[in-house]
Amino acid sequence: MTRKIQNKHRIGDKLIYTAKTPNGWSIVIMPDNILIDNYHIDRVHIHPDPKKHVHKVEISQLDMEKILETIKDYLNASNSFDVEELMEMLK
Amino acid sequence: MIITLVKKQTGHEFIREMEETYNSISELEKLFERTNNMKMYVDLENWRYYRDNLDEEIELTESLVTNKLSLSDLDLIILNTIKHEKPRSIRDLANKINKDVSNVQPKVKRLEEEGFIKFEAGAKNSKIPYLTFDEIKLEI
Repeated sequence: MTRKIQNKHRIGDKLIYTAKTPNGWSIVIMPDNILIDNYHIDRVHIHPDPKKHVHKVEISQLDMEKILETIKDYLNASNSFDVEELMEMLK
Repeated sequence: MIITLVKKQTGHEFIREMEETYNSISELEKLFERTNNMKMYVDLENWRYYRDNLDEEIELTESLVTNKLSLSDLDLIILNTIKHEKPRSIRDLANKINKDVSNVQPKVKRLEEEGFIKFEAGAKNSKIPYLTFDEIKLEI
Protein backbone atom coordinates (compact mmCIF):
# COMPACT_ATOMS: atom_id res chain seq x y z
CA MET A 1 0.00 0.00 0.00
CA THR A 2 1.31 3.43 -0.89
CA ARG A 3 1.01 5.54 2.21
CA LYS A 4 3.48 8.25 1.48
CA ILE A 5 3.60 10.45 -1.58
CA GLN A 6 6.35 12.81 -2.60
CA ASN A 7 5.91 15.20 -5.49
CA LYS A 8 8.13 17.68 -7.23
CA HIS A 9 6.43 20.36 -9.34
CA ARG A 10 8.40 22.65 -11.59
CA ILE A 11 6.86 26.07 -12.36
CA GLY A 12 9.22 28.36 -14.23
CA ASP A 13 12.35 28.68 -12.10
CA LYS A 14 10.58 27.45 -8.94
CA LEU A 15 10.46 23.93 -7.59
CA ILE A 16 7.67 22.95 -5.23
CA TYR A 17 8.29 19.80 -3.19
CA THR A 18 5.39 18.14 -1.44
CA ALA A 19 5.53 15.19 0.92
CA LYS A 20 2.88 13.32 2.89
CA THR A 21 3.29 10.80 5.67
CA PRO A 22 0.89 9.69 8.40
CA ASN A 23 2.86 12.12 10.61
CA GLY A 24 1.94 15.14 8.51
CA TRP A 25 2.57 16.88 5.21
CA SER A 26 4.84 19.59 3.89
CA ILE A 27 5.24 21.91 0.93
CA VAL A 28 8.61 23.51 0.21
CA ILE A 29 9.09 26.28 -2.35
CA MET A 30 12.64 26.45 -3.67
CA PRO A 31 14.92 28.32 -4.18
CA ASP A 32 13.01 30.74 -1.89
CA ASN A 33 13.27 28.19 0.92
CA ILE A 34 9.70 28.61 2.18
CA LEU A 35 8.08 25.78 4.13
CA ILE A 36 4.39 25.18 4.80
CA ASP A 37 3.60 22.13 6.93
CA ASN A 38 1.57 20.62 9.72
CA TYR A 39 4.33 18.57 11.35
CA HIS A 40 4.39 18.38 15.17
CA ILE A 41 1.30 20.54 15.63
CA ASP A 42 -2.05 19.90 13.99
CA ARG A 43 -2.46 23.42 12.69
CA VAL A 44 -1.14 24.31 9.25
CA HIS A 45 1.57 26.95 9.35
CA ILE A 46 4.08 28.69 7.13
CA HIS A 47 7.70 29.42 8.00
CA PRO A 48 8.05 32.75 6.22
CA ASP A 49 11.65 33.40 7.22
CA PRO A 50 14.07 30.57 6.38
CA LYS A 51 16.64 32.04 8.77
CA LYS A 52 14.21 31.77 11.69
CA HIS A 53 12.77 28.30 11.46
CA VAL A 54 10.99 28.64 14.82
CA HIS A 55 8.94 31.56 13.48
CA LYS A 56 5.61 30.13 12.30
CA VAL A 57 2.48 31.85 11.07
CA GLU A 58 -0.74 29.88 11.13
CA ILE A 59 -2.82 29.81 7.99
CA SER A 60 -6.51 29.12 7.85
CA GLN A 61 -6.53 26.90 4.79
CA LEU A 62 -6.08 23.30 5.99
CA ASP A 63 -6.17 21.24 2.83
CA MET A 64 -2.76 20.52 1.33
CA GLU A 65 -4.05 20.14 -2.23
CA LYS A 66 -5.91 23.47 -2.07
CA ILE A 67 -2.84 25.20 -0.66
CA LEU A 68 -0.73 23.70 -3.43
CA GLU A 69 -3.18 24.94 -6.07
CA THR A 70 -3.11 28.43 -4.51
CA ILE A 71 0.69 28.44 -4.63
CA LYS A 72 0.73 27.27 -8.24
CA ASP A 73 -1.83 29.91 -9.22
CA TYR A 74 0.23 32.56 -7.45
CA LEU A 75 3.49 31.51 -9.13
CA ASN A 76 1.84 31.30 -12.55
CA ALA A 77 0.32 34.75 -12.18
CA SER A 78 3.26 36.58 -10.58
CA ASN A 79 6.49 37.76 -12.07
CA SER A 80 8.25 37.77 -8.72
CA PHE A 81 7.88 35.86 -5.46
CA ASP A 82 6.79 37.75 -2.36
CA VAL A 83 6.09 35.58 0.68
CA GLU A 84 3.87 38.28 2.24
CA GLU A 85 1.63 38.26 -0.85
CA LEU A 86 1.43 34.50 -0.76
CA MET A 87 0.55 34.53 2.95
CA GLU A 88 -2.28 36.95 2.24
CA MET A 89 -3.68 34.51 -0.31
CA LEU A 90 -3.43 31.61 2.13
CA LYS A 91 -4.92 33.39 5.16
CA MET B 1 0.42 20.25 -20.86
CA ILE B 2 1.37 18.65 -17.54
CA ILE B 3 3.92 15.88 -17.69
CA THR B 4 4.23 13.73 -14.60
CA LEU B 5 7.01 11.20 -14.11
CA VAL B 6 6.08 8.53 -11.59
CA LYS B 7 8.52 6.36 -9.69
CA LYS B 8 7.81 3.84 -6.95
CA GLN B 9 10.23 2.96 -4.18
CA THR B 10 10.19 1.48 -0.70
CA GLY B 11 11.11 3.20 2.53
CA HIS B 12 14.30 1.14 2.53
CA GLU B 13 15.29 2.52 -0.90
CA PHE B 14 14.39 6.03 0.21
CA ILE B 15 16.73 5.74 3.18
CA ARG B 16 19.52 4.40 0.95
CA GLU B 17 19.06 7.48 -1.28
CA MET B 18 19.21 9.73 1.77
CA GLU B 19 22.40 8.01 2.96
CA GLU B 20 23.97 8.51 -0.48
CA THR B 21 23.02 12.19 -0.37
CA TYR B 22 23.73 13.08 3.27
CA ASN B 23 25.72 10.14 4.71
CA SER B 24 23.83 9.91 7.99
CA ILE B 25 20.86 11.38 9.78
CA SER B 26 23.16 13.21 12.21
CA GLU B 27 25.07 14.74 9.28
CA LEU B 28 21.78 15.95 7.85
CA GLU B 29 20.75 17.41 11.23
CA LYS B 30 24.00 19.36 11.37
CA LEU B 31 23.66 20.48 7.77
CA PHE B 32 20.12 21.73 8.37
CA GLU B 33 21.20 23.63 11.48
CA ARG B 34 23.95 25.28 9.45
CA THR B 35 21.95 26.11 6.30
CA ASN B 36 18.27 26.29 7.38
CA ASN B 37 17.44 24.66 4.05
CA MET B 38 13.75 23.71 4.29
CA LYS B 39 14.08 20.87 1.81
CA MET B 40 16.61 19.34 4.21
CA TYR B 41 14.17 19.80 7.07
CA VAL B 42 11.54 17.83 5.14
CA ASP B 43 14.10 15.15 4.20
CA LEU B 44 14.93 14.89 7.89
CA GLU B 45 11.27 14.46 8.89
CA ASN B 46 10.80 11.84 6.18
CA TRP B 47 13.99 9.99 7.11
CA ARG B 48 12.89 9.79 10.75
CA TYR B 49 9.51 8.44 9.65
CA TYR B 50 11.02 5.86 7.31
CA ARG B 51 13.47 4.48 9.81
CA ASP B 52 10.46 2.77 11.39
CA ASN B 53 8.57 2.06 8.17
CA LEU B 54 11.12 0.46 5.85
CA ASP B 55 8.68 -1.64 3.83
CA GLU B 56 6.18 1.08 3.04
CA GLU B 57 5.83 1.91 -0.62
CA ILE B 58 6.36 5.51 -1.72
CA GLU B 59 5.08 7.04 -4.91
CA LEU B 60 7.44 9.77 -6.08
CA THR B 61 6.22 12.05 -8.82
CA GLU B 62 7.76 14.91 -10.68
CA SER B 63 5.36 17.25 -12.48
CA LEU B 64 6.31 19.73 -15.12
CA VAL B 65 3.98 22.22 -16.80
CA THR B 66 5.25 22.90 -20.29
CA ASN B 67 4.16 23.49 -23.84
CA LYS B 68 7.66 23.02 -25.18
CA LEU B 69 8.28 19.34 -24.67
CA SER B 70 7.93 17.11 -27.68
CA LEU B 71 8.74 13.43 -27.64
CA SER B 72 9.42 12.00 -31.10
CA ASP B 73 8.81 8.40 -32.13
CA LEU B 74 12.56 7.80 -31.79
CA ASP B 75 12.55 9.27 -28.26
CA LEU B 76 9.80 6.84 -27.27
CA ILE B 77 11.65 3.92 -28.87
CA ILE B 78 14.78 4.92 -26.94
CA LEU B 79 12.89 5.14 -23.62
CA ASN B 80 11.14 1.84 -24.27
CA THR B 81 14.40 0.12 -25.17
CA ILE B 82 16.19 1.46 -22.09
CA LYS B 83 13.34 0.24 -19.89
CA HIS B 84 12.87 -3.21 -21.36
CA GLU B 85 16.22 -4.18 -22.92
CA LYS B 86 18.60 -2.51 -20.45
CA PRO B 87 21.41 -1.51 -22.86
CA ARG B 88 24.91 -1.48 -21.34
CA SER B 89 25.98 1.72 -23.15
CA ILE B 90 24.77 4.31 -25.64
CA ARG B 91 26.45 2.30 -28.41
CA ASP B 92 24.62 -0.83 -27.25
CA LEU B 93 21.37 1.15 -27.23
CA ALA B 94 22.03 2.35 -30.80
CA ASN B 95 22.71 -1.25 -31.89
CA LYS B 96 19.50 -2.49 -30.28
CA ILE B 97 17.38 0.00 -32.22
CA ASN B 98 19.44 -0.29 -35.43
CA LYS B 99 20.49 3.37 -35.49
CA ASP B 100 23.84 5.06 -35.85
CA VAL B 101 25.29 6.03 -32.47
CA SER B 102 25.89 9.60 -33.79
CA ASN B 103 22.12 9.98 -34.26
CA VAL B 104 21.24 8.44 -30.91
CA GLN B 105 23.78 10.39 -28.81
CA PRO B 106 22.09 13.85 -29.09
CA LYS B 107 18.66 12.33 -28.47
CA VAL B 108 19.90 10.61 -25.34
CA LYS B 109 21.58 13.79 -24.14
CA ARG B 110 18.32 15.76 -24.52
CA LEU B 111 16.35 13.06 -22.68
CA GLU B 112 18.89 13.31 -19.87
CA GLU B 113 18.60 17.12 -19.76
CA GLU B 114 14.81 16.83 -19.54
CA GLY B 115 15.09 14.43 -16.61
CA PHE B 116 13.78 11.28 -18.27
CA ILE B 117 16.98 9.29 -17.98
CA LYS B 118 20.23 9.17 -16.00
CA PHE B 119 23.52 7.36 -16.45
CA GLU B 120 25.66 5.19 -14.27
CA ALA B 121 29.28 4.29 -14.94
CA GLY B 122 29.76 1.12 -16.97
CA ALA B 123 32.76 -0.85 -18.23
CA LYS B 124 35.57 0.91 -20.14
CA ASN B 125 34.24 4.44 -19.58
CA SER B 126 30.85 3.56 -21.05
CA LYS B 127 27.71 5.12 -19.57
CA ILE B 128 24.75 2.88 -18.82
CA PRO B 129 21.43 4.68 -19.37
CA TYR B 130 18.52 4.02 -17.03
CA LEU B 131 15.06 5.46 -16.57
CA THR B 132 14.42 7.72 -13.61
CA PHE B 133 10.73 6.75 -13.41
CA ASP B 134 8.27 3.88 -13.89
CA GLU B 135 5.47 5.73 -15.69
CA ILE B 136 4.92 8.96 -17.65
CA LYS B 137 1.50 10.65 -17.33
CA LEU B 138 0.41 13.39 -19.70
CA GLU B 139 -2.44 15.79 -18.92
CA ILE B 140 -3.70 18.29 -21.45
